[in-house]
Amino acid sequence: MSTPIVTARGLAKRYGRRTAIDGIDLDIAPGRIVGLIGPNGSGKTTTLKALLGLIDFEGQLEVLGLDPRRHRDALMQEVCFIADVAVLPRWIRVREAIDFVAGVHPRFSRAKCEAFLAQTRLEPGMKVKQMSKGMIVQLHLALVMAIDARLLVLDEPTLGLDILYRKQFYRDLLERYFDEGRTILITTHQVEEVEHILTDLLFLREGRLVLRASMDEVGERFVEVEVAAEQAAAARALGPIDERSGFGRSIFLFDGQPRERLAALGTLRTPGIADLFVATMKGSYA
Amino acid sequence: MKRFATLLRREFQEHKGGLLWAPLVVGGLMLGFGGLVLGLGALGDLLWLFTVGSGMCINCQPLSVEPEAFQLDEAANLSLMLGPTLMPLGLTLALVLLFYAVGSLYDDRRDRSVLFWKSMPVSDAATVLSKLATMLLVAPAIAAAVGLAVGMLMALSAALALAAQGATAVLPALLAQPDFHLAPLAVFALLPVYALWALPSLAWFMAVSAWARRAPFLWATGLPLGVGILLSWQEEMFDLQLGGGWFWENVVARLFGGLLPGFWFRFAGNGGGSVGPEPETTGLPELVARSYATLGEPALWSGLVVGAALLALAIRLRRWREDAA
Repeated sequence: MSTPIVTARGLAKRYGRRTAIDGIDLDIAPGRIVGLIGPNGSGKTTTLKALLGLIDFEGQLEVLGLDPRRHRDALMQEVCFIADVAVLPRWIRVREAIDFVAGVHPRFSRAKCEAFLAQTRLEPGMKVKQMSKGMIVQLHLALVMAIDARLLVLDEPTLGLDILYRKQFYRDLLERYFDEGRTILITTHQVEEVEHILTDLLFLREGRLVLRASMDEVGERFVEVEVAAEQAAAARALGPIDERSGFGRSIFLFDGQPRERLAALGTLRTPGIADLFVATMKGSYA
Repeated sequence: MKRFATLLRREFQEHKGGLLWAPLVVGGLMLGFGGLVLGLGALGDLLWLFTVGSGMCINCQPLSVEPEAFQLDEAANLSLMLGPTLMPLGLTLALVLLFYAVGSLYDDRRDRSVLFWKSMPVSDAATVLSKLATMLLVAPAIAAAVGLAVGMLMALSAALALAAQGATAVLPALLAQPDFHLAPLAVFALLPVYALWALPSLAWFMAVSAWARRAPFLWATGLPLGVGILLSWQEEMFDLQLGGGWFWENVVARLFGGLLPGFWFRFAGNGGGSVGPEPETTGLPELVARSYATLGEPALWSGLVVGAALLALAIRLRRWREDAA
């Protein structure tokens, strides 16, 4: 079980002169929930497409021990993906979608899918074009969760959904799908919603990985300190990676500074991923 | 096998409108109009109407006391109504397939549902071939079945209407006609011939459908027409021989005509030049034999070679086209 789900060495993709991803090294172990996070145009979707064998690339890449370019059909038996909401064909009915997946996917369980759908308001005769975005995602998730796959790839799975559907989506994923034999790779902008479920974090910026750490490591490495105004100069001298202020106090974000030293400056806390993201990506659009 | 059957069923579900409803509606309209003519005719003398219509009247006067011979001739005519009945359905089939093929590998890229199809363990070759098989086998079989049903219903109701007017010999004579019973066999026997002649056209439309970033219909039709016009214009302009005539004949006409059932009679030895099965002049067994004889034509085989290459291209484009991902 310890064989990695994904291994990449020097993974790169160029479109003409533009470099979409620029030499990524990556190992994803089984049983992890990995967040691939980056600003628009940082190469997230390109990376996922390479993993799924949808595009050609340079460098080395193995998914479940297979080259996704040459063994895409075999790979898709154990890899599922939800790329964005609303990619289900608009003409298809719930019943037809289930029949289709049951007919082509050897690891699909119709019973599981129907049990999941029974908890929603979807009816077998309903067409995708009559559904709201939230319902389409429910259907897609029901189809995917009923597949006994080892890797689930989610590309902005909750984009455009209201908060109820978003919360429900991740709750279903955690409670009804995830276990130690499965791996989930998620890209999203809505960092706050996934940070509690992630085990690993990848920050992508301009086609390069700028942070690759488990959540435990993140908690050890990064510390946020709330500092009173008179202590601000002392804090700045320690080289914070980010500084913001509010209510007359300054909040500094430190990477790898000893906690004892920082504790003297003010209250310590673990930073949120969103703050960490903003600090890491500073100047991305400049 | 189960997987391919699932793919075929998926095609049918998506294209029920073109595959099933279009021929049913056309067939229904034909039945409706046919019934209207029969109903109006029944107000007068039907047998007279029919014999005048088929150019068999002698004095062109109402024949109140029908000689047996007229009735037998009429029965033969009715059994041949199957031929004309198949024409509108053949035309419908050609139009449905044209739009089907042009959208087949484009529509799901446009609405991005290709990402769902590609998330399933189905090879791109299987996807492309399932679409092709639906167009080459399923669609023509449905059109043929509807055409036969409409033709037989029309012939039977005409015979019944005649019987109601006293021409009682027509119905038994119709049922005794060998062609009346052979028609379904003959029509279904022609389906493989149709598939072979239509394949290159569909392969071209599918390849363009997999390739075009937008407006696949314009590319698929405009490109061959444009090249043809350009060639002809250059020939006129500079008094050259660039093979424009050959191109129109063998590429453009073949591309669009190939979808029409009976197109192959252009290549059938003595009957050359005209499109359509000409049922008035030929018996059904001979019709089938002449159709199968075209399978020896080099034009068919060169078309199949080009078609196979275009299909391979379509599969490759489906696999690697980046905006399809």
